[in-house]
Amino acid sequence: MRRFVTHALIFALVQALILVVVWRTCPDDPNHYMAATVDKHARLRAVATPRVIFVGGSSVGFSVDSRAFAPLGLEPVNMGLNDGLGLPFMLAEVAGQLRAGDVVIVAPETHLYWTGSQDDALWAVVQQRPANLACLAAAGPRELADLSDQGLHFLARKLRCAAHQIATDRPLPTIYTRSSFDEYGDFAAHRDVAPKLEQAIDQPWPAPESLSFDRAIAALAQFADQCERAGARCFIAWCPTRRHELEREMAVFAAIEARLRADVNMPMLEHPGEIGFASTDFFDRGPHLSGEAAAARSARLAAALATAIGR
Amino acid sequence: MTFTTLTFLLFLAVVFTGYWGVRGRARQNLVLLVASYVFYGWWDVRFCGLILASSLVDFAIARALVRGRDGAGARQRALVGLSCALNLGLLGLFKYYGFFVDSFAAALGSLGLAPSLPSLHLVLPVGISFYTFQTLAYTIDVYRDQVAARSGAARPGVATDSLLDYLTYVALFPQLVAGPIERARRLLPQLQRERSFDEAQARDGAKLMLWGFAKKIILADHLGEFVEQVYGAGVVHASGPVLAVATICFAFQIYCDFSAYSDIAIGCAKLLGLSLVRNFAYPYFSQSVDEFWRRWHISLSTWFRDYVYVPLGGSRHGPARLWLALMLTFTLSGLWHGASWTFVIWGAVNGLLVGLAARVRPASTPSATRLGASDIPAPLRGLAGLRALARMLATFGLICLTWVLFRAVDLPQAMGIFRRILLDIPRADAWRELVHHREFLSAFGPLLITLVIVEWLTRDCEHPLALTRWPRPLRWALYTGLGWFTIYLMPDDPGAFIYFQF
Repeated sequence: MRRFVTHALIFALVQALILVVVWRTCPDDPNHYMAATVDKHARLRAVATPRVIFVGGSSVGFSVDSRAFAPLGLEPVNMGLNDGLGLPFMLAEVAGQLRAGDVVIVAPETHLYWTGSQDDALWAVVQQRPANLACLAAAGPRELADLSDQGLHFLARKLRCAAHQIATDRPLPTIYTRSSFDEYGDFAAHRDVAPKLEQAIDQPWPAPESLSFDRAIAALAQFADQCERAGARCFIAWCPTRRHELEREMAVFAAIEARLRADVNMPMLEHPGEIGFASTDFFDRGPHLSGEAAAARSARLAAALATAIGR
Repeated sequence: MTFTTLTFLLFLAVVFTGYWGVRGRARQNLVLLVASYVFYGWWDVRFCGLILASSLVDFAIARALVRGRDGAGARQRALVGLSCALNLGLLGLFKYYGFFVDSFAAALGSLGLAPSLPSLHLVLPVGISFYTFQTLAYTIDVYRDQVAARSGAARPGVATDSLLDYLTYVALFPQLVAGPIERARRLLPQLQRERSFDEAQARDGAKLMLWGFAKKIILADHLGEFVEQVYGAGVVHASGPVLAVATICFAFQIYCDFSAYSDIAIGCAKLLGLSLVRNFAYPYFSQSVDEFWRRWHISLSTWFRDYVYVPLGGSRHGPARLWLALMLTFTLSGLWHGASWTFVIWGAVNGLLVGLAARVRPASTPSATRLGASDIPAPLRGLAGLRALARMLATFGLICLTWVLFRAVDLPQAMGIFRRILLDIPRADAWRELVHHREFLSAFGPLLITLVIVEWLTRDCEHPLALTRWPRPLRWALYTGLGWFTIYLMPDDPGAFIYFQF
């Protein structure tokens, strides 16, 4: 037994050395899109109360223009980064930082009402900011398990990245970087760029009766309680959606809306009928509004918030 | 919990440490039992309740069988019948209810009736086909022991008094979800004694696991992406040659996928000092379809042989009964694979081919009834070698044709694929469509050929990494290279093991 374990440990050590070489060959990019998590968390902790905190995925990052909220006397903090992080993680990022007087607007990508965390997003934010592990743990054991399940795939991508670095050390031209976020945490680099007019990712959703919203609804209900205990107010908003998709999936939106009204103590700042946009209002294939559309939507949202909180 | 995740490797490390850290049979089995339920509950904790209930019922029935005093009397027959009804009922409810209701509704619909039949939306518990067969075999074996004892042909009984041993036998995590389907007579005795660490066995287990990971990730997952492109839409949109190549790729995908699962399961069990039954013995080197079925998914083939084919009379009552037994056995085996008519017909076609192969085989050709060291495919030398190679290729071709039925979304697609392959073979422009897939074929074609060559050269070993004569630095370099190459090729969206769905 001892001989076997010794040999296994030596073998593991050799693999660890190879891993170190791979890691050094493909170092973390400080300007990686996911590295914006560092700035967002720093802002969340640094700015004074009262704050308006936006929670969601990249649709929140791209489609909220925080400047519209400044006249309300609230300090905007846009936490929107990537929908692959999953709703429990997004809520856990903010839950531990709530203060009395804060306003939170939760606007998850609609599919997050029935899907969990995805791909390598969790690994990427943990790699960029290891303290995010605490948010994962707070989000529940399932999130940690998902992270663990993706571990080998993350390693595979790292290995392929190292091979790419060795073969060609040329960075890819992209605006999807950390430096494209502004001081509020909004993704701002696209505001002055013409929309790409790409074909949208458009897959029909399953029928509402085959979807389970329980996990997301429970997480939101728990978050609403946490807000109440902290003396913060929280609201629901929706993810910008292409008009034809909104019309096609209205049954799913209606089912989610009904569950939110029945089980979650969060007033709605807007209704599903209000978040349909023309295809030309989107910057790229995701739910990312162009600068102009984001400004108009944010002004509408800010007006609704002003009415709701009496400012 | 899937084998090809970091979670499983961490889980295995914890189980390995805990398992060998305790002494005594009962404690070892307790560690295994807890680990197995954690492993199974990882998918859905409700599944644990189902397997526990199924195990407890069969354990109670087996105990009642043993306590009975009238040997093979009516009460005993009723008990074993109850076990069959409960196990098959469970399987029928979760796996086949929708299929039978839909088929019945379609049959009535064709008569102009529009019945409103009750439908159930049940989640199919992972591995239910495997563990129900295992528990069912246990009660039948206990019953057969009683029959044998009554007739004076006493043999060591399979029944156990220990609920812990029995629950561990049913739920043992390496083989719980996709086999090999273990018999109580083979696995229970191993669980009824304390295991001591065997270094050579553990080393071999680790190598076998590595070989399984490599086959699954390097080949099965990537071949699966190509096959999905061609077959996935449920319509026939590719040319005949592309369909033929995709079918060959599927033949290797399903082999690499399922044999990889078995390799990892067997390797994992070896790390824990347990020996599981061999499930694959180089099936694509078979020279006839019946030989193929003795080398492919051996634990299922032998299960159907012992619990369906032989009780139906087998070859003991003349050709008519033999054909009946054969066709019924293979059709049921097809149905076991999935609740769809494609699987049923796939099973029936295989039954037909096995029956025909047995009829046309020259009298001089030996027909092995079981696999063992003597069943290693012989070297191909001279004219006899060429003939053997031709038989191998012909068998592989036949098996590939049956895989079309297995992989097709439905029967119309399968028929369309057969027709397109047949019509397109003489058309040059149809062959040119292969050019669109040259990147995939040039990358994975050589890897497939390498697999075949490696398996042929090492066919006298249980697996190709059993390289005991190589110096250690060379072996370690090979394992390291293979391991990192496997991780490098791990797809972003890995496919689940195919047999999970069964």
